[in-house]
Amino acid sequence: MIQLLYYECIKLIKRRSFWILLCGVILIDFGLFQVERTYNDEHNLKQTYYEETMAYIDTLSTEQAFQWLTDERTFYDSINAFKLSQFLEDDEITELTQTESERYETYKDEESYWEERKIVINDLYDYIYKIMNYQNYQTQIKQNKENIVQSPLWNLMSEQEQEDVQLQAEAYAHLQDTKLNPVHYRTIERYAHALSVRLLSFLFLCALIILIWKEDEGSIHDLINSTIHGHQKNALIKIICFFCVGIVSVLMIQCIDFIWYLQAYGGCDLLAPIQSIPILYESSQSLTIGTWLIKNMILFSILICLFSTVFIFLYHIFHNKILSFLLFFGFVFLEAVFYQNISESSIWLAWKHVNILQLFDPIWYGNFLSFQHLFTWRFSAQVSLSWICIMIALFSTICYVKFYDRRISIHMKRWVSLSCTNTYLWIQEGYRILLTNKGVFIILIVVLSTVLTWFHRLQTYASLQQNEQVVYEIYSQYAGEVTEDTKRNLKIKMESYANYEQLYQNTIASYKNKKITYDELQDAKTSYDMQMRDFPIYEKLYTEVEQGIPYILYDKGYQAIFSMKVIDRDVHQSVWIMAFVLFMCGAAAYHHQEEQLYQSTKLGNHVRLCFMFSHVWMICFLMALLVYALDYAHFAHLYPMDDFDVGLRTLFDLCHIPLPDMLQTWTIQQYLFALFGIRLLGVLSTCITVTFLFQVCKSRIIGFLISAFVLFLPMFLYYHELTFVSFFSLFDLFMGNLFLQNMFSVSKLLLLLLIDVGCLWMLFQKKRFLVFK
Amino acid sequence: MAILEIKHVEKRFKDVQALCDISLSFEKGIYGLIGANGAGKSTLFQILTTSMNPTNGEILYQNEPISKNAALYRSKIGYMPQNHKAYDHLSALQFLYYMASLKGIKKQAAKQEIQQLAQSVHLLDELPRKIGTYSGGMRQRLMFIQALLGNPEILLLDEPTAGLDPYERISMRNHIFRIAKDKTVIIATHVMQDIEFIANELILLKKGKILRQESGASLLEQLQGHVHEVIVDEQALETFQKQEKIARMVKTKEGIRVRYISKEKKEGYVNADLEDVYLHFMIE
Repeated sequence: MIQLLYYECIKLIKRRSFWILLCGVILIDFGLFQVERTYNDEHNLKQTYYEETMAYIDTLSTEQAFQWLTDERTFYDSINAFKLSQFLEDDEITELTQTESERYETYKDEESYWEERKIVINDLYDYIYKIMNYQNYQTQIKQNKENIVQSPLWNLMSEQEQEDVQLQAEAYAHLQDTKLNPVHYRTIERYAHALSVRLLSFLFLCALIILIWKEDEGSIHDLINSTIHGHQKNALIKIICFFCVGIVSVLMIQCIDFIWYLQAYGGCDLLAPIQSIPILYESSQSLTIGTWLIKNMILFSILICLFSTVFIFLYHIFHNKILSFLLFFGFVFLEAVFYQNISESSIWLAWKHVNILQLFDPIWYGNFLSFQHLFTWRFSAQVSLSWICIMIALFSTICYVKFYDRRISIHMKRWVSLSCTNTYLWIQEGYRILLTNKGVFIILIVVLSTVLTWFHRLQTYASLQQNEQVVYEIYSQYAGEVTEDTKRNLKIKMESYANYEQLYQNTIASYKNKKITYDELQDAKTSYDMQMRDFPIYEKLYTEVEQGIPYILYDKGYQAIFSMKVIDRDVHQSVWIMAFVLFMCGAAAYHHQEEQLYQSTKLGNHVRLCFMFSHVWMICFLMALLVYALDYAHFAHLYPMDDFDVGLRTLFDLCHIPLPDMLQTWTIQQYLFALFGIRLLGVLSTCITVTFLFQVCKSRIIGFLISAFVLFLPMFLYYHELTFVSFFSLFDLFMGNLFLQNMFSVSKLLLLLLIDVGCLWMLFQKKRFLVFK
Repeated sequence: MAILEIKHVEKRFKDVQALCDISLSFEKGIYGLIGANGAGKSTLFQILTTSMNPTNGEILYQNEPISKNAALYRSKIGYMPQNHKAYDHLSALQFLYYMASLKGIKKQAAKQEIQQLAQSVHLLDELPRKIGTYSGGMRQRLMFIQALLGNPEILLLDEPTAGLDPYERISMRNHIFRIAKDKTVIIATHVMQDIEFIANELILLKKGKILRQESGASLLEQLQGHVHEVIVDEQALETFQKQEKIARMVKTKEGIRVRYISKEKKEGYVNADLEDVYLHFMIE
């Protein structure tokens, strides 16, 4: 048995495809990590301030750190009060001390400096406060338990409930003497919140299953079946091999990922208790951060491997592998939909808590006590889900081993017989790309991720949408050209706000003179808050009108659709679509030998190529449309938009972006069409270029690498400030806004069209002037 | 007593009857299973290697149905598949050890056996190399070694000479002949020269049915008087082709020498060979 297992593992790890897969996953993970890090570095000043502050706190004792943070808080409060009094033009401007004044003067104009730094200081203050008061927290738990025991309620509790209270108290009793020290918790929190590495590990396991099980197909399957141990024993060995290699590989991927986090965000004391991390402050586990992380990684690796055994069973049992994929990933998709969309008040909440997707959430493991906990038979989401995974694995393994010799063939009715040659060649090309070459999975991945992201965004922004509706209603009263009436109405509104303000100030003065009671003051404040609720919106409107804008426009939706202030969404979409085009063209590309055979037939040259290109380009086009349409739908849902025929100048002025000469007379609608037109032109040009590159390269891998190089290298260089590369690249077309606003060039468009035509001509001529082996 | 017996075996895939009431019995010796592509040879082999169950009928090993003790039966068979193209990343030695462990052979015993067998097919020095670097002939020899691991009583060889050059073909034939003395060897092929001189019995399989199970000599005897050779000119060739079943044509100075198989026995015949037998029985 051991010998057989050894050779099964050797068979796997000696395969080049295994290492390519493993390295590929690690590289993709690194890429995603870098993207996230770049984003954080650019858009999250908090991280820098946090690191600076933590570095300073490290030099102090906990008490000194707490004192320093308290002083800092006071300082930021004074600054706030000072700024507020200046803004409201109070009679009594809050005074700053000399030191405070000097500090304030240094960063006076950097608004984000004060905002972000204040948040960091408050966070760290709360953190250190909690750390210092951990003993009190423990005492409180103990006290609570004693209170419950002594209360009359105790006798009304069931034995089970009483035992639960005792157990919980006992669990915390281990932590009675735990002393917490501040640690660099953000590294761990960031790592804990990163989902990509876990999703990639899961996909890696699915690919690993295919690698292990695909090898022994065809004639080799008969050969193995003819041996004495070639049936059940071999089946079991394969599963054990999958577990061994799978667990080790997933652990390795996670460890490498964690090392990147340590490198990028700074080290953390791994020997400190886990309660030092704010998200685990309430945990009753007596563990160090290091052990918690290791336990997390091991638990994740084991549970995800256990769950993946379903795929082994499905992959083996069906002759038609597509059915296995559809069933397995269909189930995962369904779980994802439930996980994303079930609210905390739903009667289906249990489905969310005992959901396979929970395995991907590291915080979820925080309340996972230990393996003994599994056998206490007490209900908790962690225990239930672990048991579900174990049961799934047992059931799948037993079924797989038991029915090893029986496989199910479900003959799905095909659209056409593959023997058809002429009439259905187009459909057959589609069949080949989508089913034979598995293009359907690339489409499924894009559709699923796009739709899931869309649902997720809908859910996340649900509350924001209500607020935006309020803002929109105010805007819609004044929307349109700014007339004297509009100005007057707004002025009246602002005067009424000034009256409210004056009234409130009088009330405060009356309270100070003890003419009214504190309760009356509170009532007045509540009423004042209600009256002033929409003040910031009116104030913004009024300021804009005062500045002389000719048109009042609720501009948030347009800004969002055009990515006018943040281009990251455009970057993500572009990378996503370019990767899709790359994979789709790869799926359509022929092997050189295959192509030689087809070229020797009547329709094998031009007609077949036309059909193939039309399929790939049509699919890429539709996918790009789907991505852009869902993006548009999301913002249209969030921010109502009615003024598409307004001049583009109004929008650009509102965003304080200079309007290029070419766009001076355009309306928002024209700009929108031009934007999507440019983007779709980018998709088409990329399709032609990548198809051409795949055609001129004999090897599919070489074609893939060269195409990836051509598509992504200019993007990389551009973001490293080599802006000139945009003149001979495609990515700025995908990011239509960038092209229209900054880089529009008729000569580039003409050159691009010329290149496209040239590529098409050469594609149909079948000239292989660049033949890479 | 027959070592292996096939009793009324049938196999149906949806609308296709792959095997139709096959009954055969095998003793020690070499058997050639002859049939055109799609005749059912590979299906029969899949059933014999227990990769597939028959729709009807049963296989008996020493008078016991193999379904009763499949493990015992599997320990007695060695199988050499056709067109093996897997495990290119493994060395031949690792592959053989893997197969040995699948056959339940202990490592020490496997080591000795592999060395002996590799020596006999002149592959010993090449064992550490990766299978991916092997030529077609070396792959076939490697697969032959793995089939012999564990000294099986029954050897099932599926087109063992496919893709080999004439020298390797002869060499493989000699290896099979050498090891077949105390074994039951079933060779599935449609190349008659492979088994012409070594097979004790030939089984002709056509569209899933057994046409004949006889010795080569007996089949040749049945064709005595049916095979003729004549010289025809090019103009007459087309008419001649329509009338007779042509076996071979050779261009000579006098015209084209045509070897044909007549339906009736005639005078002036030449000696038949197994290719003539194949044509006579398998081609309509």
